[in-house]
Amino acid sequence: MIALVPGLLPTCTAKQPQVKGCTSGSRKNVGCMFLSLRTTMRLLTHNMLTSHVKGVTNGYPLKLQAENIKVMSVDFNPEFVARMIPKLEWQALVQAAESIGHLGDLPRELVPEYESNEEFLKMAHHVLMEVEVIEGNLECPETGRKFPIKNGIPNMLLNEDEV
Amino acid sequence: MDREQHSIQLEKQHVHDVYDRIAPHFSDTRYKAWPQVKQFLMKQEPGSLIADVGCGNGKYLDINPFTWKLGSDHCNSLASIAGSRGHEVMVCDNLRLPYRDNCFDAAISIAVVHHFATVERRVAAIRELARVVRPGGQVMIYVWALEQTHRKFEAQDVLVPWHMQAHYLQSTAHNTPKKQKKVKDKSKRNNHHVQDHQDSSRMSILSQRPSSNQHSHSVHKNHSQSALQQSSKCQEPSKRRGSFSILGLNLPFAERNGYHWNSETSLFRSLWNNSMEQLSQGEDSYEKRTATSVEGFDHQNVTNNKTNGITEAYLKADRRTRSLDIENTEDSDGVEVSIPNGETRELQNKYGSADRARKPLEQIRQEQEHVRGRSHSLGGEDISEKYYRNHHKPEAAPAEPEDLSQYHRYYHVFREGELAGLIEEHVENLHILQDFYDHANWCVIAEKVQVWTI
Repeated sequence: MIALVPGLLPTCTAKQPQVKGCTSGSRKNVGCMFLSLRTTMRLLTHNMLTSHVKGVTNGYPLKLQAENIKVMSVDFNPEFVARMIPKLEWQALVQAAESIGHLGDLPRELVPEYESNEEFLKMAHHVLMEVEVIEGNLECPETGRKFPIKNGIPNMLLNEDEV
Repeated sequence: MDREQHSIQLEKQHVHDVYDRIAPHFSDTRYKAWPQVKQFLMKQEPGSLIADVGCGNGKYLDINPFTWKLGSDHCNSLASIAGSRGHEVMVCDNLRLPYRDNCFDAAISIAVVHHFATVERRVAAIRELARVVRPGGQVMIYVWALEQTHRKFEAQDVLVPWHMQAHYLQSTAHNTPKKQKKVKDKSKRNNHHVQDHQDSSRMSILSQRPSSNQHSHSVHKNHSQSALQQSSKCQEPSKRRGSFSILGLNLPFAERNGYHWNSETSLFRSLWNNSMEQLSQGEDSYEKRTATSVEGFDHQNVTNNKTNGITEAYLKADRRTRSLDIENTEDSDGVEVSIPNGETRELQNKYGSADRARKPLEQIRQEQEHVRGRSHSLGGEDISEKYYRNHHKPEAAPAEPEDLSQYHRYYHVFREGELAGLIEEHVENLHILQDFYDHANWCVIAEKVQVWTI
């Protein structure tokens, strides 16, 4: 069981992050009301990903290589971030953020009582939610297999000989 | 080719490739969240991480904004549509999810597992879902049911046609997932008549049916063109929907009841005309009438493996008419409805109820072979061997773009208890909490439990 962060209000006001101020939809071919939103991969997602190539025993975390990064302002919700943190592999987050030059002042170790440390939560929020990879690669640390990220969508499909 | 390879090829041709082709059209018919799925998502705790495996166009990804959802789909086009709506998505295979163990609080698999062509692959798909969910987390799985009130399947492994609308065919030809004139404003949708999803596909059938007499692909070509012309006449979506709302047409009448008469065009026409007359009298009288008309089928025992005379005739007749009778929409309860029409090809009867006891997969498979050996249709043949021999010569040239078989999706429709049985027998770390039928689907909600092996 993942322990819920103590001290949270019973009525959590967390909201799914909404991208603000993004006007250039890269996928113009899809005509819909969400045209202004661009598909991106956030570091929160990266934290859940692991190499699934056959035979790999040490496929986590995937090395992140970003060719196109956007930083977008996303509503900050301290409760939401506080609840996400225990689900994360912190070192992997630090490593990924550092590899694309967006670690900022984020502490390399999880600070105690972070749930009440708004400054810390804001930094975590920034790295988790606001740094978006549009183009790049995810590389298996063991085999070197690269999974491309195109238009913010990682393609994690394996070839026949990799499953 | 071995069984696994056949299955992979079948899934590629009749699941992955089809979704790639129909993605824009498919997406436009999928926007209403099924109530039970919505409920499941809503009851997840704030801050939960949820995996939507096989997310399609992402219609569940914006439910419960207090959680973080990660969508995935094998179909790049659908993932792109979901992504363009601001959701976090990726392209991956349900059988090899690129997620670390125990990292999600919940996972949903809606209308996905029925697309795997062998029992081993269905089990593997479910095991992957269980692997990525933490102990104590829940998994919800929906699969299409064999037992359906208005549809009869001749076997559990079927090809279900997708009726591609003409203007989507055109956009597919340009190879862009374009949604022409189909911009759907969500708020508008919500305020709209509940039946507004009785959408385009039915409209096209309305406009096409009376003049149709399809016995070949070439006819279909002309047909598509005429459909294109007709659809351009009534291109304005709200008008189309409005007309259906006014009619109060709850049943996709042509598809749901008319498909048995496919081969009898004249009979169909008279039925058609009658149906049109019935429209103004409301749906009750209409339903009564058509229910009588299809009595022979409605009273047939669908769980019976043996094909009786009626269904044989039906299959035979319908194989001559390779088209239409397809429903691409969701029914009034928001549950996916697709009709196995004449093109429902019988592939095999594979999952006998005798397989319910705990057995290794290999043993089940052998028993299934045995069951198949006794069944009327396929002998002991492999599902895809049979399929390919009958329908796709491996050396044959690729089908023409107009080939309707390109729009047939493979389904393994589940018998009552089959989904729960698979989990109980083969997925040790899932404990079933709920097992229920929800509008043509079997659904299981299961909790991941810690399994201690000594």
